[in-house]
Amino acid sequence: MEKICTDKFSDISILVRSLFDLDPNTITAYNVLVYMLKSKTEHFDSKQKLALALNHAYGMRISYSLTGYGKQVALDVRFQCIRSDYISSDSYIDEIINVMEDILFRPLLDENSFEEAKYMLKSRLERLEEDPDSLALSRALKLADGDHDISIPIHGDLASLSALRYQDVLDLYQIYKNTGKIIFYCGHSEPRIFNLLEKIPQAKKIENKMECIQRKSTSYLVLKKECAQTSLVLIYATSISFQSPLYYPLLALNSILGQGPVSLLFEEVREKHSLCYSISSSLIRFDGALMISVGTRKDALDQVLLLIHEQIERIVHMDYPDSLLEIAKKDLKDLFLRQKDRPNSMLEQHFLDMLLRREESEEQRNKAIDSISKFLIAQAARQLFLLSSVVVEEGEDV
Amino acid sequence: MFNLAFQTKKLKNGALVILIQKPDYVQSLFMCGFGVGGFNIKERSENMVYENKGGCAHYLEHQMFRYQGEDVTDLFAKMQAQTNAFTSYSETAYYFYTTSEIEKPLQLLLDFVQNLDINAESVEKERGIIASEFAMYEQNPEMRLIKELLVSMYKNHPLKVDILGSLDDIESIQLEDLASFYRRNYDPKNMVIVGVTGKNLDEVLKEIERIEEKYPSKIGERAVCIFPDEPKEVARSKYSLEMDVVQPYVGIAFKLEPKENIIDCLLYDLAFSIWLDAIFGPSNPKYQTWIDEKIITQICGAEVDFSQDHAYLMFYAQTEKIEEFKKLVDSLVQNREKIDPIVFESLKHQSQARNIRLLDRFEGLAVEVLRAHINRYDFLESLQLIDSLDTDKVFEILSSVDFSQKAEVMISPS
Repeated sequence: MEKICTDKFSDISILVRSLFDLDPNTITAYNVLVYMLKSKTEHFDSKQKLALALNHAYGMRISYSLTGYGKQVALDVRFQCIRSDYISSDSYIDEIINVMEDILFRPLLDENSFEEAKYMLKSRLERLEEDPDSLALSRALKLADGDHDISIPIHGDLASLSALRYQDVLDLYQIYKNTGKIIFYCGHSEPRIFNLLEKIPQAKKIENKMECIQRKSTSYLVLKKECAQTSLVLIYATSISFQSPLYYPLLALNSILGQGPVSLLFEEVREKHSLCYSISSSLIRFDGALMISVGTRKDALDQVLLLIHEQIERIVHMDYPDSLLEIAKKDLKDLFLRQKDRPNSMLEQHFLDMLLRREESEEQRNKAIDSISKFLIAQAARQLFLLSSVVVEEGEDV
Repeated sequence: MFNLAFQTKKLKNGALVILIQKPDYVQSLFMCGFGVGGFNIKERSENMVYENKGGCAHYLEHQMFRYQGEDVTDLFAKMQAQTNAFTSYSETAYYFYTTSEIEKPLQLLLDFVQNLDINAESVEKERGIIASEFAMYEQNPEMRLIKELLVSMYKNHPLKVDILGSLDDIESIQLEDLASFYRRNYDPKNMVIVGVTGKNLDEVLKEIERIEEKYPSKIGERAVCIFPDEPKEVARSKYSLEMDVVQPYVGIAFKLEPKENIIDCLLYDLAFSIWLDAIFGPSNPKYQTWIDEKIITQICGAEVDFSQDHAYLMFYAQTEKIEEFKKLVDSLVQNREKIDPIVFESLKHQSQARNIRLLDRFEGLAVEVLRAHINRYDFLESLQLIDSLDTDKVFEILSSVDFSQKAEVMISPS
């Protein structure tokens, strides 16, 4: 168990993480399992009982989620509770422990909750298809490389869901139950909670399993949907892993290109040409990919595409103000500093350092950031290769 | 006890400064807010009545990011600070956060909000950006449903107008519309500066006082919103539209009587929120039945808003069982039973915890403190309101409200 004991926060944040291989044959079942795990337990055998217990324990929060890390998926259970010295109740910690024990060791899985989970997941998946931005993103990831992990939808898919059996989920639960957990704790020290967490079988080792998506060919797709504006998603291969000397330059590249409002895409496409409200780039680091997304007018799409291409070329040719590079470096340093005020970000950073076997100090990291140059960023930009381009445009469904 | 300290001071120019110290935190956040927003369509200032175009406050917020010919976002970024802004119906606020020194970004924040630097070209350029923002919200079915419910409820009240205005408003707003709006509303007398920081508050206050010395108030009295008379009846009881959705969306809203006193507004809001948590969530054993019968899905919710000029309660869901959902809402509203004391006790704890958590959220805390001042109530006292409620009081509040004015909106798959 990794502990960060601090009295800075009102909440105690706990993360219990299990890592599994990301597999298209099981990811939908994991989504159903997650829903079932959070529904009820042996002692709190209805939604009402569980809700009452959580609310009574001063709004204790439990959340389950699935996050992709390259070839792996993390199934997370997060607990959040107010530190005990802020609560004037002698039984408060007992209540917390009771709920945590039941959630961790005695979930109640039955056919009713299985059917409910399927129904809820179906609604969610349909909703994602309904939203033009989500639709463009899911199609672009699938088109990028159908054989790579990037194409596996982390929320599952409707076809697998309809074929899913109750027994499949029970089998998966056995695997989950027997998998060692990685446990992180952040907040006011509570020895009784430490004792409980130490009872959980811990993961013996964790390893990073990632493979950068390869440069193959570029795929294009245009879909029509009745929507108010056009969504465009572009996926690029970066061919840059965490171990690459170009990793920090890639972070700076993303910042300069479109991570935030001080970036080339924001400045050129939004501010100078007024072609959109929202445009951004982001990294899918564990797959070695970079994504650009924008919402614009259908008649402006060609101009937007041209401007995006031009901004990447500007980075390749180091044709942008030095101040943008300096801001990117400051942003990167700031990003790590800001994590110190956010328990969940601290836990995530801790996990990444473990997974990637990173032992660099803050000073070493800042030194690495300081050494980023326009030349190195241009090298990273030269490696960008467009894998997929998906447009969901205004019009009648086809 | 909660790892924070407050300091408040009204400056010579009328600006109010509220500083909150959060020891050990790396970040600082400073917010500069004005009591002006989407509601400011008709306003009175210095005995004159002005009519603004819908969306003026929001359009101006976008334009404010220019200062001395530069984009302030870039200037903040050079100081290792990030900036943002928002416009609600009754507030507009600008803020930055940083892990670095605060003096320069603080100076920039106070300078750029107190200097208007726009021209016809910059106003023109913003039009396409705001039109794209409008389109983005327009294609979101939940946001569209809520927007149409407000239009259904209100005939005259500016709640019926989108904070961004209509597309026609966005197309027609001109430089002078924004400039005159700015002159009337962006004055130190109407400004609240909220800081949340780990730094020494006395020093921060001195710095703000120093900067504000060069910005005297230029207006005699603050502009006030004029709310037109609003009939008790809803503007339209049923409305439907089509969108490219898989399942229908349905929303049911009840137009309620506003409360005259701000503390009553807060109390009614709180009582209704607790009631909604008790009856329209997992605390209600029937909630499971509604899921089993597929009357509700993950996309469902309810919200309440009591203020001195409007009040409403709304329920919404994405569901195939539209008639069943309508019946469900009707039965909840008609049979307003007392909340079970055990459920009430647990929800009271939850509400107390929410207040404690708010104190750790820099942006949320600054917004709530700003809102409290603009609406003229004491933020810290408002956190204690939960202690004045019990099941009887909640029941008394629910029983005193007239739910006769109902509006329904449906979005069907096209």
